[in-house]
Amino acid sequence: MIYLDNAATSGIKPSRVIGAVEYALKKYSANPGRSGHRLSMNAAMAVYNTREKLKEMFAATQVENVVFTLNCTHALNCVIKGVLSSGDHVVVSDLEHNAVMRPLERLRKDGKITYSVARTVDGDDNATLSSFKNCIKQNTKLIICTHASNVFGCVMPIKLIGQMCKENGILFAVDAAQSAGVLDIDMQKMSIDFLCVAAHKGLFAPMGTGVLIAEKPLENTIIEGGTGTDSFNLDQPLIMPEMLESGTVNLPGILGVSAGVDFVKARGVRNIYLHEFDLCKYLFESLSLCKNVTLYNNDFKIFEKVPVVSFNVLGHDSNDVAVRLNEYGIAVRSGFHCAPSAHIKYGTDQIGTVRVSPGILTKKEEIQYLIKILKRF
Amino acid sequence: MPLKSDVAFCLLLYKKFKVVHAKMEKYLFSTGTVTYAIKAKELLRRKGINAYVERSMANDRIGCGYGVVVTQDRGTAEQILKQAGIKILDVKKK
Repeated sequence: MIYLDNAATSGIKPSRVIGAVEYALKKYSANPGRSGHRLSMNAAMAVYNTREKLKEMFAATQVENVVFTLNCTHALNCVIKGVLSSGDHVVVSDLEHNAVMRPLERLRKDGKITYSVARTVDGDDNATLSSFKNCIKQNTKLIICTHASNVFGCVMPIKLIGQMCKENGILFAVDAAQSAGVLDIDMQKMSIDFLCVAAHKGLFAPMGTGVLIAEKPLENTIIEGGTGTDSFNLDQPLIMPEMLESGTVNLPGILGVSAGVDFVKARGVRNIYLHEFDLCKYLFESLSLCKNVTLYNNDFKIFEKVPVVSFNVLGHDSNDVAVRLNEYGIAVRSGFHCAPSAHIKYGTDQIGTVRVSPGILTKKEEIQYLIKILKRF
Repeated sequence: MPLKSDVAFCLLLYKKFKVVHAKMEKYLFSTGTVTYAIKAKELLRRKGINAYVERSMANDRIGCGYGVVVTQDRGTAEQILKQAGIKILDVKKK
């Protein structure tokens, strides 16, 4: 199978990640942060070391700010429900995933918050920044922005938005589901207060792993329970990161994250990006010559796009295209990709798109084969 | 081949070390979470202070938790942890 659905999850995990998961099950089969015996302490140390690696990778300030979650959606929910209270206002971009929009909509319908959607302008960072600025109100507490659209690949001016948030005393959360491990992220330089990561995507970790790095305190939790500490206190302990990690953590997954970070470091974030970007640019340019294919970006410029190409084939439903490609042994995603507002913006809200997202192991010949098949439609 | 006298000397040294080590005062700084305990241990070791993490039962029915045990210079260790913003919930002589 030619796997071109890496924006959903990195399909082929590196052997060192698979090895780390197996090693965790064999050698660290104990509960970290619960007991005092050697196995438990070794497991706790392994978890701690993974936090350290993530802290360094994303330039966080403290190791305890690194929280392990189930996925990026879980991390975003922790932020949204942990930060917002009655009467607060939120600004989001018009490219957000439902991982952001559904929790916000739930709070809005409950009468607790309001939110505004800032119109992004592809290729014009200052215009995008102005849109965010224009949405700010006196009670704006939080701005949430995707680092890069999961449908159309547009990279957002995170540094500019972060700086503006800092100047206005507004908290800034970034959905890095499509960018962590692909683009450089420095939480300090980009003034990011909350970074939400899908570790199973760009960090090559197993599915069911996510990371939240919270540089600012969270006031509420979305799940309470055992933390291995302060047992006689029936209130949830407010000490990070255990405050947000009630219950037994996913140790094999966390060691998978650790090995995934090592893999990304060894390859180099920039090299990974350039490899995947080159493939996408080649695909984009080839498809732009096909009369039966509709593309939705005007161009595919370096560092303005993450390695994601969305398109449609004239006369074919996006799902039918994906089904037929599957018959040829090519895995892509079709439909709306859980981001309805992005489709409304690009006029694909009735038909969806076919999305191709190559990975570090994708070869140019595989993209050429895809193009050859698409030309036959 | 080591001489018999060398072996005997090493054994003597080892026994003395064990006695000194056993007499050495140990303090458990309760930090609450295992993350802070490990952070404290790493920090102290980087500063040349021998430390290890231990499961602890803090006073006042706080309940379970973790702490870091130091075997030397309680005052310096306490200062380093405080400067690093690591909250010490309780200190116990072991």
